[in-house]
Amino acid sequence: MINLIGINKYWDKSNGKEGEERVYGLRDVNLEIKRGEFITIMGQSGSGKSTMLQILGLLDLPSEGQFLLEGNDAMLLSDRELARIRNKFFGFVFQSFHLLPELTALENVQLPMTYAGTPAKQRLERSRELLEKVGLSHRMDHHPRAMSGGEQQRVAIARALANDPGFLFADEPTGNLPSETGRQIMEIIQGLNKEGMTIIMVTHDDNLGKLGSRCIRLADGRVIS
Amino acid sequence: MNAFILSVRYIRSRKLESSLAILGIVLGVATLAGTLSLISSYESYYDKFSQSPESRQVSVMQASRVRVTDEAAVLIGTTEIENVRFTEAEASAALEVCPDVDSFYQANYRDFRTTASTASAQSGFGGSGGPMMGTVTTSSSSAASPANSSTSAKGSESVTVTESAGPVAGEPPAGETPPDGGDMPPDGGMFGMQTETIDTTIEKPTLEEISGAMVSGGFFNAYSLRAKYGDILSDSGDNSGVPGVVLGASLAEKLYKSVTDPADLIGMKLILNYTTYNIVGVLEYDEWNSSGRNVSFNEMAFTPTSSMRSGSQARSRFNSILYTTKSGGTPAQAAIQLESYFNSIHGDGAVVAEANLDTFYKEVTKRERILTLMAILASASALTAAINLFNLMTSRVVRRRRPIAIMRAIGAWNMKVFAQIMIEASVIGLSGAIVGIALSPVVVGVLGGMLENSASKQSIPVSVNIPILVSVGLGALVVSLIFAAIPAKNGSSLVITDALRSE
Repeated sequence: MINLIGINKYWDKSNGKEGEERVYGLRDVNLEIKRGEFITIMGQSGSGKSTMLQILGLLDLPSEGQFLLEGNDAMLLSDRELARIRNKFFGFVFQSFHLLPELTALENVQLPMTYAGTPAKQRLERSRELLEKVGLSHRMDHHPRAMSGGEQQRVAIARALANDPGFLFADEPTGNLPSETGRQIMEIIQGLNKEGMTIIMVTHDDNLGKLGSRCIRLADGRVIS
Repeated sequence: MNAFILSVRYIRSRKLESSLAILGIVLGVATLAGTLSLISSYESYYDKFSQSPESRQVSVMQASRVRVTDEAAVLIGTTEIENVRFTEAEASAALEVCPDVDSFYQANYRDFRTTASTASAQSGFGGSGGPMMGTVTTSSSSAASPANSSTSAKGSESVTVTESAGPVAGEPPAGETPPDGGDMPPDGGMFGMQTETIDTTIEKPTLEEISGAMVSGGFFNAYSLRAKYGDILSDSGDNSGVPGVVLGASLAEKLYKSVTDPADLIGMKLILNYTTYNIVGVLEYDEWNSSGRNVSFNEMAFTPTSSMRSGSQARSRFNSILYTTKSGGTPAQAAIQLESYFNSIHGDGAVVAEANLDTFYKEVTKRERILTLMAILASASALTAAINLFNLMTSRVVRRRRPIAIMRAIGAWNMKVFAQIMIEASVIGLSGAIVGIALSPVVVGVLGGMLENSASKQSIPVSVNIPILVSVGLGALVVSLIFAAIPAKNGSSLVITDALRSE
């Protein structure tokens, strides 16, 4: 379970002689996310959706407030401990796929397991299994540049599932995909939620927003509903 | 997918810039390792040389000088060169007044031709022996005076040597002048006009040219050269009429195909520069291998000086004399004493005495100065390569902000990213170091050869110093890592969200 209590995220922007100007990404956010939920985060551009997802995924830390993960304050964790949580318990799917171009699909999927210290043989088996699950058994040895957007996103999903995380964070996962491919990706994500995985997805598409069990709307960094 | 394989992938993905970075390290390492190896090689050889008998020798010779008269400089004939010649009496007296000097001897290094030619006249020698001083004829007649002819037989071989002291033609070899400064002593093939009768049934050696020296008996003591078979040459000479020759150990083994045991050489005849010699001795192997000489004593043949052969040593006058430093004495001190003594006889500045050790030291120092300059340039080159690596890794980190952010997002902590970048730099550094080390023997050979060619007197063998090569290689790796550390630190500490947003 994730608890956000009084979270503020801001950046101090230098403003010459007059001192610093504070720019807020999130303001006084209080949120509780339970296991197995499918949460969609919606809002206008600049409303703080991505910032919220990054805070929730521990890709960035809040400026103020409390982040409780299973009751533990994540703000007190070291860089290595945060990396371990992202590696073991969180999975990420980005709008731009964010695969490493030098690695094949199989190697991209293995990477989180490498950081987790999984033995090579086990890594290989698990990677093949995941790529088969997302329907890419025939593209395992291909590099991202030789794949379509949909295929790349499926590799990214397979990578996100590598260490069997409890949470999947998806930042507009269908944003760069044709509608049919996007639909297939959403089917995979919904399937994962049905298997018990907690999904937190950022989208600006109302139709996708309705797929979640709960929709959080943001405006100017505040939760409005 | 471990960090090493990922590093190799990143390097391969940027082949040209990676290759150029490696090339820079290769050049720096190869040149630096090569020059340092050469310096070490020279220093260790100097140490060896300073222990050898060669280092205890001192050469006394005429100073290269022009004595200027009081006349106007533009007038022809206003200068004159005064030739200094040393006598046996002077040389002996030096032993009394120079406390650091032990003994003196003669040694004129030259090349010998072994060809048993039947040509009736020759115009010159091969090698450094100077111009041919006489003529050589061969015939079956034996119209020689008894005193200057000899006949010996070994099996079916027979040699008849006839020498006649004919009119003087040309100059004597360097280092020795005939008695009274003008008349040449009878000398087979070296000095005066001569007529020889050579039996061509003498077995022809396998080598057409061999290096050697005309030496006096003291030479062997000076260099601690002892006979393994037969005898060394003696200052008292012999009256057999056929001059003796002593062979170095290695030369004796390969001089004749048919003679496998060097002991069997004793008594055989050998023609050197159209003069027939009697092989009287074979030397023990010279363990010093004639440090500092182009040719080892083991490869040389030693014949008596003309004055030894004519028995006119007491009347001989020499261009140069060689002295051996007494045990416990210092060659430099001996040189000072000798120079002072001979200048007191021949005039201030007329004579110079040079200790071999000093000469060798000057040669080594000269080479080391050049190499030190090269090592500095090589270090600058290596530093440039390191800066290039720094720039390369910095640009790679900047270009790879998003991949690094992705790696961190999916579980790589900052030290893991740091290690990843350092491994990449170390692969480049190590590749350059290994290839550089592999090429450094070539640098040693080329630089050593160039220095050898520029040297006039001394030959110094070069060798590859493995510990130095390894040290330079490791040093290059360490420097690579140091210069990669800052970009790696920058890469590992980037803010994930900033890096992801930057796309």
